[in-house]
Amino acid sequence: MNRMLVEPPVMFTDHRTRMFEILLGKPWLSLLIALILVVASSVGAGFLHFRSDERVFFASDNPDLARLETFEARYGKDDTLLLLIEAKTGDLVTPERLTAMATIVDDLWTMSMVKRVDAPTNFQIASGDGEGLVIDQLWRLGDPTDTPSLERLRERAQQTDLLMGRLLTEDFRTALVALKFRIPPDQVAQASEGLTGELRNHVAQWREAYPELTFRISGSMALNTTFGEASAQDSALLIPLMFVVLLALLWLMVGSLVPVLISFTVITAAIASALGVGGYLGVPMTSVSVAAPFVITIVAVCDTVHFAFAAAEARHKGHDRRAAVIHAAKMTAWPVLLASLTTAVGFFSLLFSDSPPFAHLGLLCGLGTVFAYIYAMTIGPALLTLIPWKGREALVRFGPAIGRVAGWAARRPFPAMLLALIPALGAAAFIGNNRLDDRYVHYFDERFEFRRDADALNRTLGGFYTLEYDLPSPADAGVSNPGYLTALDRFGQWMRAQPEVTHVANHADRIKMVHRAMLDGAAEAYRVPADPAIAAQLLALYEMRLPFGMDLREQVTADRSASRMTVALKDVSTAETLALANRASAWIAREAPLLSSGSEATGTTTMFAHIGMRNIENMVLGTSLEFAVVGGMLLLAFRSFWMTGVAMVANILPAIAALGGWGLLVGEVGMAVAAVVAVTLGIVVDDTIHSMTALRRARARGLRSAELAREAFTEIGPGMLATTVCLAAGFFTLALSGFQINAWLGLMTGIVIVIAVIFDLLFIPAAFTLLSKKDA
Amino acid sequence: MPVSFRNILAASACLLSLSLSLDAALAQGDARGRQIASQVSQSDAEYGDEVVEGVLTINGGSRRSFTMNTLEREPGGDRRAVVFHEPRDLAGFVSLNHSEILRPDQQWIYLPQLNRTRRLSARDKTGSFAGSEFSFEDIVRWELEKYDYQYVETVNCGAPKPCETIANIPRYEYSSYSKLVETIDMAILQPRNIKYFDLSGRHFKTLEFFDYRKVGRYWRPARTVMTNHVTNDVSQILWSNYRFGTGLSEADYNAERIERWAR
Repeated sequence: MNRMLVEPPVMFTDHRTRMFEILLGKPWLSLLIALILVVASSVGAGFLHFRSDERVFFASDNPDLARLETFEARYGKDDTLLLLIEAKTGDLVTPERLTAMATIVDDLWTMSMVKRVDAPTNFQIASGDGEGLVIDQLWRLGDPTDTPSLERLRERAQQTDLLMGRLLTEDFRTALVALKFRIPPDQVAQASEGLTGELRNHVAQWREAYPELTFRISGSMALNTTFGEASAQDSALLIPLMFVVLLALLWLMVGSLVPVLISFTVITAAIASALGVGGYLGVPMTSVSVAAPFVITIVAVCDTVHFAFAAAEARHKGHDRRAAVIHAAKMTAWPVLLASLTTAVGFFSLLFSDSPPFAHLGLLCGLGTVFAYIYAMTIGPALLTLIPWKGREALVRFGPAIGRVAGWAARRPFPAMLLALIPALGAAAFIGNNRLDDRYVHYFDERFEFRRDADALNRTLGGFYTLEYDLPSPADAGVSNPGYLTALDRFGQWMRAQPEVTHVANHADRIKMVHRAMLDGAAEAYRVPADPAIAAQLLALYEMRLPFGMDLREQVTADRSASRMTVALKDVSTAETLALANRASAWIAREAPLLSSGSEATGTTTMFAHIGMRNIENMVLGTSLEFAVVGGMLLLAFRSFWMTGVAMVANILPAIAALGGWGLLVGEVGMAVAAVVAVTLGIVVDDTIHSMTALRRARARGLRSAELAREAFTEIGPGMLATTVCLAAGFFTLALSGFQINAWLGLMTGIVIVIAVIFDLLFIPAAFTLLSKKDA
Repeated sequence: MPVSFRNILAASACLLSLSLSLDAALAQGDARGRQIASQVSQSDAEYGDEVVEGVLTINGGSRRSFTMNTLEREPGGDRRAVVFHEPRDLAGFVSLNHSEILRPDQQWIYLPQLNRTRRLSARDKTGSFAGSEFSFEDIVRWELEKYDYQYVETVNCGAPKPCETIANIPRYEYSSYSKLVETIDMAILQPRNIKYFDLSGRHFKTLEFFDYRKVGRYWRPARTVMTNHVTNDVSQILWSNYRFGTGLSEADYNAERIERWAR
């Protein structure tokens, strides 16, 4: 296989021969030079650092991120852990369980860096009757627990919008404890993991102490911790698994272990160098870019396998090691270079992605592909010369069968084309079924405790996803302005009525609660006061009673000019979230123009809701550029417009068909989808290059039609089979990742690769036959 | 850290561990600490009543001005009325406090715009003073009997006499603090700074006193600054126009007549 796939330029042919004779004449020297390169570049890996916060998905110039940062400058950054406490039977309003909750809250206050703990028990509830005004914790240790007192507690809680549905479910079975932390900038990297671990230790003890309660952990810091754990799991489980799978497959196909082991040496060196250069460039490792070693391995296997095949075949024919290696080098140097370049271009096009982890993944994989080529042409031949090994016949026997399929396609071009095109176009028709959804909880499958816990949170209270609003009062009026408070209250009511919403917390609710308490609990006093001074005094009164760490700085700006509204959402898709945010803006414009300067929602949920589309918009440019570059390279190689056209169709259609099939079967895509077309084009085009070249060479030998196709594919079939099996096996292993972005990237890429090989087998010989007739 | 949620057990456990952590010279240290504390208390006694104007700023902004009127009662807790003047929508807002030694204080508030007085049921005094880093606990007058004392160290603080550092351990329920470590300028018998430790033993805020001046017989600071080490927020109060013996009486602190302060 792999015989002279593409005719290289004459210059290259001359240099190539001389280059390999020099290289192989002194294998130790070329090994040494390569080794120096490996060491020099891989030292940079020491500079690699890991980032597992969700912010890494957003470029520093992302406008959504900028808006969130402005918001955080005003109201503080939410580094949050959530603890969900559920009663297994009955509800939480019993003496023992209230005691448990209060004790737990006390324990939580001792956690490192904790800034604030919000729980139902320590919620500062304002209530009043003829006796006086109480602004105090809902319940604290030592408070009465007789039945009438507990009934009274339920009643007071039920009247408090800021509490019910946010920290406590209507049935009192589930409570939420929200922990906020203040993390010094130098500890941001380790804080999430450390604090999540600390909370997990607490929870382990509480599970023993309070067997009648269930505990779950969620929140942004648990999310970040899980990003880190997902990466660690992918590295620790999937990479060794994939190495074993690919090693076994290659051994089976090449039939000789030594060339396979040498291939893996080359790949390992390529990964080390790519990560090292990434380290020099300051690329952070993220849960997405951690897949780079994975992808480099899969792609580099294909490049090195060609060399190994060629050498093994020559050995089998009786050449000695040195002659076999020189033969293999001559045969594969040019086509593998071309294939490596198209693959690298595909990866580098990811640099256009709006989400840095994808750009980093592309950069690392692109570098890895280039390094893999360099080492495959230095370390590979040198080791194959130095280490004793024997060649065996392996895959060649599959050649005739593959040739017969291609021969049929050439004989019956129309049915063959239809066989490839109809399912592909049929599937492609469903491409619109895909809905963009970047619900970041769904990035993790049920293997992750985080996912199970977040689902439980979404089932009970909701509120993992939120919309945040920064609502400034009109010029100098301040948050106590009655017009402002009324608008806020109405906006809050409107939001509450929306089906996606589980809870709304705003400043108007707080003022209403204190107003009612001040007026002895009269139900009609649960309203916004008409006098701004009253609202200001109620606020001062409430604030006066808030204990340390429970202040309103995260709710109302220090100058009292703006307040925050937090809308907690059900487990809805990011598209629905965006739709809700748009409806809300429209409602404000129509009904409450007073609030219009704050009508745009922000928050992590909103950022993720936009990232999918932003990524697609950016990747359209990146992918188009890649098409142009790959097309240009094909044109240079084939020197024929129609062949380039056929090759491009044969490589773009599989990606579109895969996306359509995905729409039919899954219907949900995330930010990774934008990367799929770009990555797969660079990979699958390799086999097309090989097929077209073989076809052309067969035609040059005077063969025609079916015979031509059969001959060509008998020759390249085993190679195509080997690379397709390796690529598909590799990417399908990646699909086992519990991290959805990587799993889906792996699965979609794997599917595209399989569809692409069908196109190579059916579409290309058919199109070649039809079009070359016209040519002739 | 809000202490309010802490039970008596936790608090006493804290105290216990704290006292255990001190060395064998504990008894002696206790006596010395208490002796210093009573010296300070005596030097500040018998002023009758004290009126002072305060201007509070939080992180250099959101200015609030108020008058603080304190009536000394011996024996028993003091009485205090804080009347706000600025911002304008808070003008006439009154907070009236009857300090108790070991029982919870009693507190009433008067909202001028609603013309209503309400007693605030308060089991604790951990609430924030006007949204600042000061808590009500820090604002109420310091009473000797509310704390146990331990001598910590003697330090040279640049004053004519060395400064003494003592730890004050709250004896009342629902304190925010496990201890207050106070450094006292023995020349004027006034604190230079107080470090506040929360119930988990973490030093989380510091109060500093600046620009002491002698007003009549008493040394008073012109500026106090509270720094919150958890949030890095800083609250400052500028004090001016200290007056003593203005003729306030017990009757002025009757909750029924709270609205008179608003005028």
